[in-house]
Amino acid sequence: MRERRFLTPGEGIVLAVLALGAAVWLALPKRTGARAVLERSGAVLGRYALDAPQRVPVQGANGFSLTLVIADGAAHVEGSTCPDLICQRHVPISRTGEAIICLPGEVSVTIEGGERLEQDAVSG
Amino acid sequence: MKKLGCLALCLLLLAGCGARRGGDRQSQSATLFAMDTVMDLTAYGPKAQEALEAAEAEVDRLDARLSAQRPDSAVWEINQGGGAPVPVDGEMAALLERALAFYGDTGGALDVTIYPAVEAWGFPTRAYRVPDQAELAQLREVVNGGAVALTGDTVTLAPGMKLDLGAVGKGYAADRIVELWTELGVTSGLLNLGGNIHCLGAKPDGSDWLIGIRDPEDEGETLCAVAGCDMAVVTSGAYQRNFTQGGVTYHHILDPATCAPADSGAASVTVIGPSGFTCDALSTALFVMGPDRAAAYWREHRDFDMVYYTQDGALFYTSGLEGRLTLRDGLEGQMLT
Repeated sequence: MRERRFLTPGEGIVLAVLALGAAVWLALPKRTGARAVLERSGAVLGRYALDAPQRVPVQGANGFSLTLVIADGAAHVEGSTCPDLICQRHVPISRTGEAIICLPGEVSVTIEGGERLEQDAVSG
Repeated sequence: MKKLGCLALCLLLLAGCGARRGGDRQSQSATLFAMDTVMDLTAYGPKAQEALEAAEAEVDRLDARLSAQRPDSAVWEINQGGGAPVPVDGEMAALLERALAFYGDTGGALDVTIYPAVEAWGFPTRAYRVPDQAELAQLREVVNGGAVALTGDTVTLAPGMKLDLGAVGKGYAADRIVELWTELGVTSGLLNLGGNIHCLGAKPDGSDWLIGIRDPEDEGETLCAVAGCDMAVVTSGAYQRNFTQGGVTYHHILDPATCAPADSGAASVTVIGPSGFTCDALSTALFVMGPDRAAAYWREHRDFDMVYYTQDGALFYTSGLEGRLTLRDGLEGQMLT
Protein backbone atom coordinates (compact mmCIF):
# COMPACT_ATOMS: atom_id res chain seq x y z
CA MET A 1 0.00 0.00 0.00
CA ARG A 2 1.31 3.35 -0.97
CA GLU A 3 2.24 5.65 1.98
CA ARG A 4 -0.04 8.72 2.26
CA ARG A 5 2.01 11.86 2.90
CA PHE A 6 0.58 15.14 4.20
CA LEU A 7 1.87 17.06 1.16
CA THR A 8 3.55 15.94 -2.02
CA PRO A 9 6.84 17.73 -2.86
CA GLY A 10 5.06 19.65 -5.63
CA GLU A 11 2.30 20.81 -3.25
CA GLY A 12 4.93 21.84 -0.72
CA ILE A 13 6.73 24.00 -3.25
CA VAL A 14 3.51 25.70 -4.39
CA LEU A 15 2.50 26.31 -0.78
CA ALA A 16 5.92 27.72 0.09
CA VAL A 17 5.74 30.10 -2.87
CA LEU A 18 2.25 31.23 -1.81
CA ALA A 19 3.34 31.70 1.81
CA LEU A 20 6.40 33.67 0.73
CA GLY A 21 4.28 35.82 -1.56
CA ALA A 22 1.78 36.52 1.24
CA ALA A 23 4.59 37.36 3.66
CA VAL A 24 6.16 39.78 1.19
CA TRP A 25 2.74 41.38 0.50
CA LEU A 26 2.07 41.82 4.21
CA ALA A 27 5.52 43.33 4.77
CA LEU A 28 5.27 45.84 1.93
CA PRO A 29 4.16 49.39 2.80
CA LYS A 30 0.48 49.65 1.85
CA ARG A 31 -1.18 52.33 -0.18
CA THR A 32 -3.55 53.38 2.53
CA GLY A 33 -5.86 55.29 0.23
CA ALA A 34 -5.67 58.20 2.66
CA ARG A 35 -6.03 61.54 0.90
CA ALA A 36 -5.82 65.15 1.93
CA VAL A 37 -8.94 67.05 0.92
CA LEU A 38 -8.17 70.68 0.19
CA GLU A 39 -11.07 73.14 0.36
CA ARG A 40 -11.45 76.88 0.02
CA SER A 41 -14.60 78.53 1.37
CA GLY A 42 -16.20 75.08 1.62
CA ALA A 43 -15.56 74.15 -2.06
CA VAL A 44 -13.20 71.25 -2.80
CA LEU A 45 -10.09 72.35 -4.70
CA GLY A 46 -8.44 68.93 -4.85
CA ARG A 47 -7.67 65.60 -3.27
CA TYR A 48 -4.07 64.49 -2.81
CA ALA A 49 -2.87 60.99 -1.91
CA LEU A 50 -0.75 61.07 1.23
CA ASP A 51 1.68 58.57 -0.29
CA ALA A 52 2.57 60.91 -3.16
CA PRO A 53 4.83 63.70 -1.85
CA GLN A 54 4.12 67.08 -3.43
CA ARG A 55 3.70 70.80 -2.78
CA VAL A 56 0.44 72.47 -3.74
CA PRO A 57 0.29 76.29 -3.86
CA VAL A 58 -3.11 77.51 -2.68
CA GLN A 59 -4.66 80.92 -3.26
CA GLY A 60 -7.02 81.37 -0.31
CA ALA A 61 -9.77 83.90 0.27
CA ASN A 62 -9.16 87.51 1.30
CA GLY A 63 -5.82 87.66 -0.55
CA PHE A 64 -4.06 85.11 1.66
CA SER A 65 -2.05 82.23 0.24
CA LEU A 66 -0.31 79.13 1.55
CA THR A 67 1.29 75.90 0.39
CA LEU A 68 -0.13 72.48 1.17
CA VAL A 69 2.74 70.06 1.61
CA ILE A 70 2.30 66.30 1.35
CA ALA A 71 5.32 64.53 2.81
CA ASP A 72 6.08 61.44 4.88
CA GLY A 73 2.51 60.20 4.59
CA ALA A 74 0.99 63.33 6.11
CA ALA A 75 -0.22 66.82 5.16
CA HIS A 76 0.89 70.16 6.59
CA VAL A 77 0.92 73.83 5.67
CA GLU A 78 3.91 76.03 4.90
CA GLY A 79 4.41 79.61 3.73
CA SER A 80 1.06 81.02 4.86
CA THR A 81 0.67 84.76 4.40
CA CYS A 82 -2.20 85.00 6.91
CA PRO A 83 -1.67 86.97 10.13
CA ASP A 84 -2.60 84.15 12.53
CA LEU A 85 -0.26 81.42 11.21
CA ILE A 86 -2.23 78.86 13.22
CA CYS A 87 -2.43 76.72 10.07
CA GLN A 88 1.32 76.81 9.61
CA ARG A 89 2.03 75.87 13.22
CA HIS A 90 -0.34 72.87 13.07
CA VAL A 91 1.33 69.48 13.27
CA PRO A 92 1.10 67.27 10.15
CA ILE A 93 -2.17 65.35 9.87
CA SER A 94 -2.80 61.88 8.47
CA ARG A 95 -5.88 60.48 10.23
CA THR A 96 -9.51 60.84 9.21
CA GLY A 97 -11.06 63.35 11.60
CA GLU A 98 -8.00 65.61 11.75
CA ALA A 99 -8.05 69.03 10.11
CA ILE A 100 -5.88 72.07 9.51
CA ILE A 101 -7.82 75.30 9.13
CA CYS A 102 -6.66 78.69 7.87
CA LEU A 103 -9.51 80.88 9.02
CA PRO A 104 -8.35 84.15 7.38
CA GLY A 105 -7.82 82.39 4.05
CA GLU A 106 -10.89 80.16 4.49
CA VAL A 107 -8.78 77.13 3.59
CA SER A 108 -9.24 73.74 5.18
CA VAL A 109 -7.29 70.53 4.85
CA THR A 110 -8.94 67.35 6.07
CA ILE A 111 -8.17 63.66 5.66
CA GLU A 112 -10.39 61.03 4.09
CA GLY A 113 -9.83 57.33 3.75
CA GLY A 114 -7.21 57.21 6.48
CA GLU A 115 -7.11 55.55 9.85
CA ARG A 116 -9.95 57.04 11.88
CA LEU A 117 -9.48 59.01 15.07
CA GLU A 118 -10.98 57.20 18.02
CA GLN A 119 -13.07 60.27 18.79
CA ASP A 120 -15.97 61.45 16.64
CA ALA A 121 -14.87 65.08 17.02
CA VAL A 122 -12.51 67.20 19.08
CA SER A 123 -13.61 70.23 21.07
CA GLY A 124 -11.10 73.00 21.39
CA MET B 1 -4.83 19.07 -4.35
CA LYS B 2 -8.11 20.01 -2.62
CA LYS B 3 -6.18 20.44 0.62
CA LEU B 4 -3.74 22.75 -1.09
CA GLY B 5 -6.59 24.85 -2.45
CA CYS B 6 -7.97 25.28 1.07
CA LEU B 7 -4.60 26.35 2.41
CA ALA B 8 -4.13 28.85 -0.40
CA LEU B 9 -7.58 30.27 0.27
CA CYS B 10 -6.77 30.64 3.99
CA LEU B 11 -3.59 32.55 3.13
CA LEU B 12 -5.44 34.85 0.77
CA LEU B 13 -8.12 35.54 3.38
CA LEU B 14 -5.41 36.23 5.96
CA ALA B 15 -3.74 38.66 3.59
CA GLY B 16 -7.08 40.39 3.01
CA CYS B 17 -7.60 41.16 6.71
CA GLY B 18 -5.71 44.43 6.33
CA ALA B 19 -8.20 45.91 3.86
CA ARG B 20 -10.33 48.85 5.04
CA ARG B 21 -14.04 49.04 4.48
CA GLY B 22 -15.80 52.13 3.29
CA GLY B 23 -18.68 53.55 5.27
CA ASP B 24 -22.18 52.84 4.05
CA ARG B 25 -24.26 54.95 6.42
CA GLN B 26 -26.64 57.45 4.92
CA SER B 27 -25.11 60.78 5.81
CA GLN B 28 -24.40 64.21 4.37
CA SER B 29 -21.69 66.62 5.45
CA ALA B 30 -20.81 70.22 4.69
CA THR B 31 -18.06 72.66 5.59
CA LEU B 32 -18.90 76.35 5.97
CA PHE B 33 -16.84 79.42 6.76
CA ALA B 34 -19.22 81.59 8.72
CA MET B 35 -19.46 83.49 12.01
CA ASP B 36 -15.69 84.02 11.83
CA THR B 37 -15.00 80.31 12.12
CA VAL B 38 -15.17 77.08 10.17
CA MET B 39 -18.12 74.75 10.66
CA ASP B 40 -18.45 71.06 9.88
CA LEU B 41 -21.99 69.75 9.86
CA THR B 42 -22.99 66.09 9.48
CA ALA B 43 -26.56 64.83 9.43
CA TYR B 44 -27.64 61.20 9.21
CA GLY B 45 -30.81 59.65 7.83
CA PRO B 46 -33.09 60.16 4.84
CA LYS B 47 -33.53 63.90 5.53
CA ALA B 48 -29.79 64.56 5.77
CA GLN B 49 -29.52 66.70 2.64
CA GLU B 50 -32.56 68.77 3.54
CA ALA B 51 -31.17 69.19 7.06
CA LEU B 52 -27.86 70.50 5.77
CA GLU B 53 -29.54 73.02 3.49
CA ALA B 54 -31.68 74.26 6.39
CA ALA B 55 -28.61 74.53 8.62
CA GLU B 56 -26.62 76.49 6.04
CA ALA B 57 -29.49 78.92 5.55
CA GLU B 58 -29.84 79.37 9.31
CA VAL B 59 -26.11 79.96 9.78
CA ASP B 60 -26.18 82.58 7.01
CA ARG B 61 -29.17 84.26 8.65
CA LEU B 62 -27.54 84.33 12.08
CA ASP B 63 -24.21 85.51 10.70
CA ALA B 64 -26.00 88.42 9.04
CA ARG B 65 -27.81 89.28 12.29
CA LEU B 66 -25.24 88.66 15.02
CA SER B 67 -21.97 89.89 13.52
CA ALA B 68 -20.63 93.01 15.19
CA GLN B 69 -18.57 93.72 12.08
CA ARG B 70 -21.14 93.53 9.31
CA PRO B 71 -22.57 97.00 8.73
CA ASP B 72 -26.06 95.69 8.10
CA SER B 73 -26.38 93.36 11.08
CA ALA B 74 -28.81 93.76 13.95
CA VAL B 75 -25.91 93.96 16.41
CA TRP B 76 -24.18 96.63 14.31
CA GLU B 77 -27.38 98.71 14.34
CA ILE B 78 -27.59 98.44 18.12
CA ASN B 79 -23.94 99.51 18.36
CA GLN B 80 -24.69 102.62 16.29
CA GLY B 81 -27.42 103.72 18.70
CA GLY B 82 -25.27 106.40 20.29
CA GLY B 83 -27.31 106.44 23.49
CA ALA B 84 -30.73 106.29 21.82
CA PRO B 85 -33.08 103.30 22.10
CA VAL B 86 -32.81 100.89 19.15
CA PRO B 87 -35.76 98.63 18.27
CA VAL B 88 -35.04 94.90 18.50
CA ASP B 89 -37.16 91.93 17.48
CA GLY B 90 -38.20 89.10 19.76
CA GLU B 91 -35.27 86.87 18.89
CA MET B 92 -32.68 89.55 19.62
CA ALA B 93 -34.44 90.61 22.81
CA ALA B 94 -34.49 87.01 24.05
CA LEU B 95 -30.83 86.51 23.15
CA LEU B 96 -29.78 89.66 24.98
CA GLU B 97 -31.91 88.80 27.96
CA ARG B 98 -30.21 85.42 28.31
CA ALA B 99 -26.74 86.88 27.79
CA LEU B 100 -27.36 89.64 30.34
CA ALA B 101 -28.65 87.05 32.82
CA PHE B 102 -25.25 85.34 32.57
CA TYR B 103 -23.59 88.71 33.17
CA GLY B 104 -25.36 88.93 36.50
CA ASP B 105 -25.01 85.28 37.37
CA THR B 106 -21.26 85.11 36.66
CA GLY B 107 -20.41 88.34 38.45
CA GLY B 108 -19.62 90.06 35.16
CA ALA B 109 -17.25 87.35 33.88
CA LEU B 110 -19.39 87.07 30.75
CA ASP B 111 -19.99 90.55 29.38
CA VAL B 112 -21.42 91.07 25.90
CA THR B 113 -20.39 94.75 25.99
CA ILE B 114 -16.73 93.70 25.65
CA TYR B 115 -16.56 94.72 21.97
CA PRO B 116 -14.71 98.05 22.37
CA ALA B 117 -11.89 96.14 24.09
CA VAL B 118 -11.95 93.36 21.47
CA GLU B 119 -11.60 96.04 18.77
CA ALA B 120 -8.82 97.84 20.64
CA TRP B 121 -6.73 94.64 20.73
CA GLY B 122 -7.30 94.21 16.98
CA PHE B 123 -8.96 90.79 17.13
CA PRO B 124 -11.82 91.43 14.65
CA THR B 125 -9.54 92.76 11.92
CA ARG B 126 -6.44 90.77 12.91
CA ALA B 127 -4.55 94.07 13.02
CA TYR B 128 -3.24 93.14 16.45
CA ARG B 129 -1.97 95.74 18.93
CA VAL B 130 -1.48 96.13 22.68
CA PRO B 131 -3.43 99.03 24.21
CA ASP B 132 -1.57 100.98 26.90
CA GLN B 133 -2.83 101.33 30.49
CA ALA B 134 -4.55 104.67 29.83
CA GLU B 135 -6.47 103.18 26.93
CA LEU B 136 -7.43 100.13 28.99
CA ALA B 137 -8.76 102.44 31.71
CA GLN B 138 -10.90 104.26 29.12
CA LEU B 139 -12.15 100.95 27.79
CA ARG B 140 -13.23 99.86 31.26
CA GLU B 141 -15.55 102.87 31.33
CA VAL B 142 -17.56 101.54 28.38
CA VAL B 143 -17.43 97.79 29.10
CA ASN B 144 -20.32 97.36 31.48
CA GLY B 145 -23.01 94.78 30.89
CA GLY B 146 -24.95 96.17 33.82
CA ALA B 147 -25.57 99.39 31.89
CA VAL B 148 -27.43 97.76 28.98
CA ALA B 149 -31.06 98.89 29.09
CA LEU B 150 -33.27 96.21 27.59
CA THR B 151 -36.93 97.10 27.77
CA GLY B 152 -39.11 94.70 25.84
CA ASP B 153 -38.59 95.70 22.24
CA THR B 154 -35.77 98.25 22.52
CA VAL B 155 -32.21 98.20 23.72
CA THR B 156 -30.16 101.23 24.71
CA LEU B 157 -26.40 101.43 25.05
CA ALA B 158 -24.57 104.42 26.47
CA PRO B 159 -22.38 106.29 23.95
CA GLY B 160 -19.17 104.35 23.31
CA MET B 161 -20.64 101.02 24.36
CA LYS B 162 -20.78 98.17 21.82
CA LEU B 163 -22.15 94.65 21.90
CA ASP B 164 -20.35 91.51 20.81
CA LEU B 165 -22.28 88.24 20.87
CA GLY B 166 -19.20 86.23 19.93
CA ALA B 167 -19.19 84.43 23.27
CA VAL B 168 -22.68 83.01 22.73
CA GLY B 169 -23.33 83.21 18.99
CA LYS B 170 -21.97 79.80 17.98
CA GLY B 171 -23.73 78.13 20.88
CA TYR B 172 -27.00 79.78 19.87
CA ALA B 173 -26.45 78.73 16.24
CA ALA B 174 -25.91 75.11 17.33
CA ASP B 175 -29.13 75.17 19.36
CA ARG B 176 -31.04 76.58 16.38
CA ILE B 177 -29.65 73.93 14.00
CA VAL B 178 -30.58 71.20 16.46
CA GLU B 179 -34.11 72.64 16.65
CA LEU B 180 -34.43 72.69 12.86
CA TRP B 181 -33.07 69.18 12.47
CA THR B 182 -35.38 67.86 15.17
CA GLU B 183 -38.36 69.46 13.38
CA LEU B 184 -37.24 67.68 10.19
CA GLY B 185 -37.13 64.35 12.00
CA VAL B 186 -33.34 64.03 11.99
CA THR B 187 -32.38 61.98 15.03
CA SER B 188 -28.62 61.77 14.61
CA GLY B 189 -26.14 64.49 13.72
CA LEU B 190 -22.87 66.08 14.68
CA LEU B 191 -22.01 69.79 14.56
CA ASN B 192 -18.53 71.21 14.91
CA LEU B 193 -18.80 74.99 14.91
CA GLY B 194 -15.17 75.99 15.25
CA GLY B 195 -14.52 73.58 18.11
CA ASN B 196 -17.98 74.01 19.64
CA ILE B 197 -19.30 70.46 19.35
CA HIS B 198 -22.97 69.60 19.49
CA CYS B 199 -24.22 66.02 19.27
CA LEU B 200 -27.82 65.44 18.23
CA GLY B 201 -29.16 62.14 19.51
CA ALA B 202 -26.88 59.13 19.52
CA LYS B 203 -24.65 57.88 16.72
CA PRO B 204 -26.49 56.15 13.88
CA ASP B 205 -25.64 52.75 15.40
CA GLY B 206 -27.22 53.84 18.68
CA SER B 207 -23.96 54.20 20.59
CA ASP B 208 -22.70 57.31 22.40
CA TRP B 209 -20.66 59.93 20.63
CA LEU B 210 -17.08 60.24 21.82
CA ILE B 211 -15.80 63.81 21.89
CA GLY B 212 -12.15 64.55 22.55
CA ILE B 213 -10.95 67.65 24.37
CA ARG B 214 -7.86 69.20 22.86
CA ASP B 215 -4.60 69.39 24.77
CA PRO B 216 -3.83 73.14 24.93
CA GLU B 217 -0.13 72.36 24.76
CA ASP B 218 -0.26 69.93 21.84
CA GLU B 219 -2.77 70.47 19.06
CA GLY B 220 -2.36 66.91 17.83
CA GLU B 221 -3.34 65.40 21.16
CA THR B 222 -6.36 65.26 23.41
CA LEU B 223 -6.46 65.49 27.19
CA CYS B 224 -9.48 63.26 27.51
CA ALA B 225 -12.71 62.25 25.81
CA VAL B 226 -16.33 62.58 26.92
CA ALA B 227 -18.97 60.03 25.90
CA GLY B 228 -22.63 60.95 25.59
CA CYS B 229 -25.49 61.93 23.35
CA ASP B 230 -27.70 65.02 23.02
CA MET B 231 -24.96 67.20 24.43
CA ALA B 232 -22.94 70.29 23.66
CA VAL B 233 -19.20 70.20 24.38
CA VAL B 234 -17.73 73.71 24.22
CA THR B 235 -14.13 74.66 24.97
CA SER B 236 -12.54 78.05 25.55
CA GLY B 237 -8.75 78.05 25.35
CA ALA B 238 -6.02 80.65 25.29
CA TYR B 239 -4.46 78.87 22.30
CA GLN B 240 -7.44 79.41 20.00
CA ARG B 241 -6.61 82.93 18.85
CA ASN B 242 -3.63 84.91 19.97
CA PHE B 243 -0.69 86.99 18.83
CA THR B 244 2.81 87.59 20.11
CA GLN B 245 4.35 91.02 20.50
CA GLY B 246 7.55 91.89 22.31
CA GLY B 247 7.94 88.27 23.33
CA VAL B 248 4.55 88.21 25.09
CA THR B 249 1.61 86.18 23.78
CA TYR B 250 -1.80 87.81 24.10
CA HIS B 251 -4.91 85.66 23.71
CA HIS B 252 -8.45 86.60 22.73
CA ILE B 253 -10.39 85.80 25.92
CA LEU B 254 -10.57 89.23 27.51
CA ASP B 255 -11.41 89.75 31.16
CA PRO B 256 -14.17 92.41 31.29
CA ALA B 257 -12.76 93.65 34.60
CA THR B 258 -9.39 94.56 33.06
CA CYS B 259 -10.19 94.66 29.33
CA ALA B 260 -6.97 92.65 28.88
CA PRO B 261 -6.48 88.92 28.17
CA ALA B 262 -7.73 86.92 31.15
CA ASP B 263 -4.85 85.85 33.37
CA SER B 264 -6.81 83.51 35.58
CA GLY B 265 -4.62 80.43 35.58
CA ALA B 266 -6.86 78.64 33.07
CA ALA B 267 -5.38 76.96 30.01
CA SER B 268 -8.69 75.63 28.75
CA VAL B 269 -12.20 75.15 30.03
CA THR B 270 -14.71 72.72 28.52
CA VAL B 271 -18.38 72.89 29.46
CA ILE B 272 -20.73 69.98 28.74
CA GLY B 273 -24.50 70.25 28.85
CA PRO B 274 -27.67 70.12 26.79
CA SER B 275 -27.69 73.79 25.70
CA GLY B 276 -25.10 75.10 23.26
CA PHE B 277 -25.83 78.67 24.33
CA THR B 278 -25.25 77.92 28.01
CA CYS B 279 -22.10 75.89 27.37
CA ASP B 280 -20.70 78.63 25.11
CA ALA B 281 -21.43 81.38 27.64
CA LEU B 282 -20.07 79.42 30.58
CA SER B 283 -16.87 78.24 28.91
CA THR B 284 -15.84 81.87 28.45
CA ALA B 285 -17.04 82.98 31.88
CA LEU B 286 -15.41 80.10 33.77
CA PHE B 287 -12.13 80.70 31.91
CA VAL B 288 -12.20 84.34 33.03
CA MET B 289 -13.11 83.36 36.60
CA GLY B 290 -10.14 81.04 37.11
CA PRO B 291 -10.21 77.57 38.65
CA ASP B 292 -11.28 78.43 42.21
CA ARG B 293 -14.19 80.70 41.30
CA ALA B 294 -15.22 78.26 38.56
CA ALA B 295 -15.34 75.36 41.02
CA ALA B 296 -17.42 77.46 43.41
CA TYR B 297 -19.78 78.44 40.57
CA TRP B 298 -20.28 74.80 39.62
CA ARG B 299 -20.97 73.79 43.22
CA GLU B 300 -23.59 76.52 43.41
CA HIS B 301 -25.34 75.54 40.14
CA ARG B 302 -24.60 71.86 39.30
CA ASP B 303 -26.65 72.05 36.08
CA PHE B 304 -23.69 71.53 33.76
CA ASP B 305 -20.41 69.64 33.72
CA MET B 306 -16.92 70.88 33.02
CA VAL B 307 -13.34 69.83 32.45
CA TYR B 308 -10.92 72.48 33.70
CA TYR B 309 -7.26 72.42 32.73
CA THR B 310 -4.95 74.92 34.38
CA GLN B 311 -1.80 76.57 33.10
CA ASP B 312 0.24 74.52 35.56
CA GLY B 313 -1.10 71.26 34.16
CA ALA B 314 -3.76 70.34 36.74
CA LEU B 315 -7.01 68.87 35.47
CA PHE B 316 -10.27 68.67 37.33
CA TYR B 317 -13.72 67.60 36.23
CA THR B 318 -17.18 67.55 37.71
CA SER B 319 -18.88 64.49 39.16
CA GLY B 320 -21.50 64.28 36.41
CA LEU B 321 -18.75 63.07 34.08
CA GLU B 322 -17.89 60.06 36.22
CA GLY B 323 -18.02 56.99 34.00
CA ARG B 324 -18.23 59.13 30.84
CA LEU B 325 -14.77 60.70 30.88
CA THR B 326 -11.67 58.86 29.73
CA LEU B 327 -8.40 60.58 30.57
CA ARG B 328 -5.38 60.17 28.35
CA ASP B 329 -2.94 57.53 29.59
CA GLY B 330 -0.67 58.99 32.25
CA LEU B 331 -2.83 62.06 32.90
CA GLU B 332 -4.38 62.41 36.32
CA GLY B 333 -7.52 64.32 37.12
CA GLN B 334 -9.35 65.33 40.26
CA MET B 335 -13.12 65.00 40.48
CA LEU B 336 -15.12 67.87 41.94
CA THR B 337 -17.97 66.79 44.19
